[in-house]
Amino acid sequence: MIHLIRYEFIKQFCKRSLLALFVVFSIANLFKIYGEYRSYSYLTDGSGEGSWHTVHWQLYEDYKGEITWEKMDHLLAIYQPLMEATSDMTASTATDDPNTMTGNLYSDRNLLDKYFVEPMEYFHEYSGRSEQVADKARQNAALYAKQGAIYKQRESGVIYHLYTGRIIPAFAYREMCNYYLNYDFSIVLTLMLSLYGVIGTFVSEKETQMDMLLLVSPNGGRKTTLAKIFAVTIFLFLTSLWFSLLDLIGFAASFQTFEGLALPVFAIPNFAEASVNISIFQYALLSAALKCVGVWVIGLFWLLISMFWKNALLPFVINFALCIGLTVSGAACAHSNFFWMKVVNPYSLLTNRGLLGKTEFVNLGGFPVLTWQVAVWFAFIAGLVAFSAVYFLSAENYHRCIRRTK
Amino acid sequence: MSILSYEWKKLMVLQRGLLYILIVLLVSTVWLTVTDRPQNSAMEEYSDEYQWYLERLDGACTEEKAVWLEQEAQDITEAHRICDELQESYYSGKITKEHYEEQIAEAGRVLAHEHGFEVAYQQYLYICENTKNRNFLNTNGWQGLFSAQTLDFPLFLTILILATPVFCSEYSCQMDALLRTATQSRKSARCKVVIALCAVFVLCAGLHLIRFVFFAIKYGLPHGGYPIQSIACFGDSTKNMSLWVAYIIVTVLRCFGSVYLATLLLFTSVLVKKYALTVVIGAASTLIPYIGLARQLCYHLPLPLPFLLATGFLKGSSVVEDSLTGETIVTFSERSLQQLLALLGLSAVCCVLMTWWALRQNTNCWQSGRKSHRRWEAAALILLLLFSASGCSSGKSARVVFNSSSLSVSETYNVIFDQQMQTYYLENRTTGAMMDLNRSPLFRAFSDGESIKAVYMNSPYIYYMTSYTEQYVDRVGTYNSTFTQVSIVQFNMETFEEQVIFEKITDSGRSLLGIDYTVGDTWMFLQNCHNFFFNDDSFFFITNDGITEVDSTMQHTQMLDIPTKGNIAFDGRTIYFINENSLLTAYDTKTHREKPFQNIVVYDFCLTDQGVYFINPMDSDSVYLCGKDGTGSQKISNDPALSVDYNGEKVTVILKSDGKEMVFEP
Repeated sequence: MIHLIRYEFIKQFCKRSLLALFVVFSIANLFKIYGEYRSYSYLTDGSGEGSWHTVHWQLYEDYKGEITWEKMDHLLAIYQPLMEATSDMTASTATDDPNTMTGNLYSDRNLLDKYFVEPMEYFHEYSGRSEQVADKARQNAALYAKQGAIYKQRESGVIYHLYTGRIIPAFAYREMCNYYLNYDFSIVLTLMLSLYGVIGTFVSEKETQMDMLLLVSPNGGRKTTLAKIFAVTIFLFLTSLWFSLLDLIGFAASFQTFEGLALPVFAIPNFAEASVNISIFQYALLSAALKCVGVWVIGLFWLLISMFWKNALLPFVINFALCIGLTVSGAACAHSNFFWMKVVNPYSLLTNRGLLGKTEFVNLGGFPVLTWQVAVWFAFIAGLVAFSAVYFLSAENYHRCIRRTK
Repeated sequence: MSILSYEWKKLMVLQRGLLYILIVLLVSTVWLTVTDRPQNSAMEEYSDEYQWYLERLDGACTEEKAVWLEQEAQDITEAHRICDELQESYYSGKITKEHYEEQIAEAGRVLAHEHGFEVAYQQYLYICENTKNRNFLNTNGWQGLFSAQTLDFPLFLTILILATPVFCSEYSCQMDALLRTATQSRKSARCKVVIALCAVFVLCAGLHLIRFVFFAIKYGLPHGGYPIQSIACFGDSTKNMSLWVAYIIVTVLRCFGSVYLATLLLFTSVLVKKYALTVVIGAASTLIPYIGLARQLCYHLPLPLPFLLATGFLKGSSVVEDSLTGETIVTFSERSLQQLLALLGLSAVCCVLMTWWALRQNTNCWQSGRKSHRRWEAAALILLLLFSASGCSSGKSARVVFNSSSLSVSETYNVIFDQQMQTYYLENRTTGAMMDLNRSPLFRAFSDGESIKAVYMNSPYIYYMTSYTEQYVDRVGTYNSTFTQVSIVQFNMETFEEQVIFEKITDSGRSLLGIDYTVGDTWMFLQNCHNFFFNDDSFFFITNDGITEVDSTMQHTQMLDIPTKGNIAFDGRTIYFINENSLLTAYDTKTHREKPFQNIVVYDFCLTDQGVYFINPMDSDSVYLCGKDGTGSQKISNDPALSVDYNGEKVTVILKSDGKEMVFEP
């Protein structure tokens, strides 16, 4: 069977056209990531003496690591005078002021505000805020217990355990991680490449009527179908993992740093209500795994649809339309309070920050289950349904029928 | 001619090309009819009143028109003041009924078109930004016509279906080799190309024609000769052209874009000879730059995409201010006509070259020995296309009593609004314990953009409306980077269960996968909503401008002409309010009929289960009680009152004399 899977994988996915698209899409992804850096980071002004890039990394050496009162006082000692000098907007606008770090008072204030004061304030205040959440959840649990609202009591219990002890102990540069966690373009590339790879699995044999020939082989029929499904699964996983890895490497290379990956994921403001207590690097791994599951489910449904056509055109267009439908509906309900809409859409697993970035629950038999966990289970069930459908709807070969009758 | 008809039958009939075209045209028409919302809903809602102003303002904004509008604004304010004074004088017996009616009719003439004035004045403010090239006109038709600024996916997919099999169907069964032995091989290929391109052109033109007819019938497309800057989406454009010309240009460019995409697919199919690869290259060459590139960069590419998004060629530059540094960031730079023509010319040349090459590959005096180069050519094509694209850079409501002026109480809880904290609390009536209405520990914990805007009680449920504003991504220079979502949450006071029953994003500017787009301003009113109530059929949202009814199933909105200055009461079917003449009025939400109670003049009122308590200004502000149909009016108190409230249990009257409360139990 392993040999059969290997043959199928090589036959279907080791094609020059697919490899060429892999390379081209990867390059396009890297260009896009670099474009994000150029468009949105303020540290792209070169390595001159007074540039934000240079000044930032010089200052960063003083403040990175464990957050201490000394560091905060030191930072405020630089920042407060700048704030006072620029608050009434009457300070000098000269860009060559030798008494400043970047040549201009306002520029100094903005740099400190954006990259040090605001993040440090957020990091410092986060533990207090999460403690308030945990405390309120504990009070709620007690109230709900008195009222006999068992589900709400359980939900409060989960929130309490999630938010108790949340702390951001160290200061780190988080800009790269912010844009990395909010990056979606590679999903489009993954889907397009996966669709191209998957679409030919059954169709290429039907186009040449080799499917009839395969049925006369002892390893033909459902055994080949099973091998094809496993080969498709491996291909989808590899494609998804490749782009997840490429995203991380691309962002690290563009921003020229891996700093921030050790921060807890809730250190990014968009993830303040994250339903997981893990670091950004661990989040990247979990996100890559969820993307694999999402692509796998969508891929198996593509495979199922493509089984019924004799050439690649219509199944490609139908699958492509399905993909657009899932993407548009998934993106439209990403912030919705109708959680089931997110959970049943495998696209949510691809963007996954809508699931992991919020603490939201689905009531499953009176038990609160986090939306991302329900989405994974739902995806597995949907994937297995598609898997079984592809397997049982494929033609059984003559060889097996004979053996069964014997 | 015969080959053309053979190819026609094969491509359009046997390969179902005609069927796909007809399905897309039909589905697009139905979709447009069902989903279209006016870009300016007030203009549509008060179209008669707005039309009255438009008859006087139509065209360029002259000084006389500006003076007249300013005068009209003063007259309307004055008419409101006169109405208030007249009512007070009449109900206190200072003037006679005849005098009152005569004067109020005169003021009514000024106020007859008040809603239309508000729409016209908003338009006037827009025109004032540049009076030289902005005219008064009904913009909904033109705005709708030009609102399709995103990629038309049904058109895009149909082009893929129509163009890909033209050559691929022959390659897949290896009939291409056989065809090349025919004497009229090249003619056959030429016919195929002509039919495919004509079909795509007809499809695109047909879709534009449908949109044109739809908007012409639904809203009208008046004054096509006015400058394009008259409508907001082209407001900053520097191009000197009329709306008609703009529409023709957009249509021609879109048709060209469609034909260009079809040509690219034909060329690719000849090059790679595979269905899947042809479609994926066609899709990637359009979608990757569409999603991956900043919009302004798309309009520099000699690809079908910029022509499929044709409206951007006529748009003006747009800039935003960096939130941190205050620097100006150009989010879109206008494309001049010369640049458009240059790109069009270059694309046309590409189109011709691709067609020529596709035809050349289908001739029977075909070159041999070049097969080994084909793979490299295909790879070069993919790289060329993708490099250029990669980018650099409801509960039952049988018996309900709702009064907008007071917060209700249930058997177990009071709803209390804390002005200082701007939040709602629930007070347990037996223990006196206070708790937040929104009990989620995460509410306002990490964001200041969350708030409760209104509460509606219908035991055992409390419904509250929350609003929260969130950033899509923390980015600079992305103008649609924030969104506001309004939800109605059903809170069960017995089980403490919560459920969202209504939810809408209110902004008209949206963002999807980094693609910014706009929708109509249908849900914008929710941002200003300060009270709401509902029954099984509809939601009713109270704003300062009136009440908006939202159909529960179809989500259609309708503005009810109900003044919302005073109390608004609702009993599950009828809305009670004070009309412009201070008469208590009932509006039946089933029949949509309004019935003023002729003898019941009220200063303030509240609805209870027994009837309506009201302050009668015609009897020295005494408190009266009448039935829900306005009959059986009887005096309850002789003391002049300032206000009357009902909280579900007690009627509280605040006396005019000393501000003390007087309580009745109905």
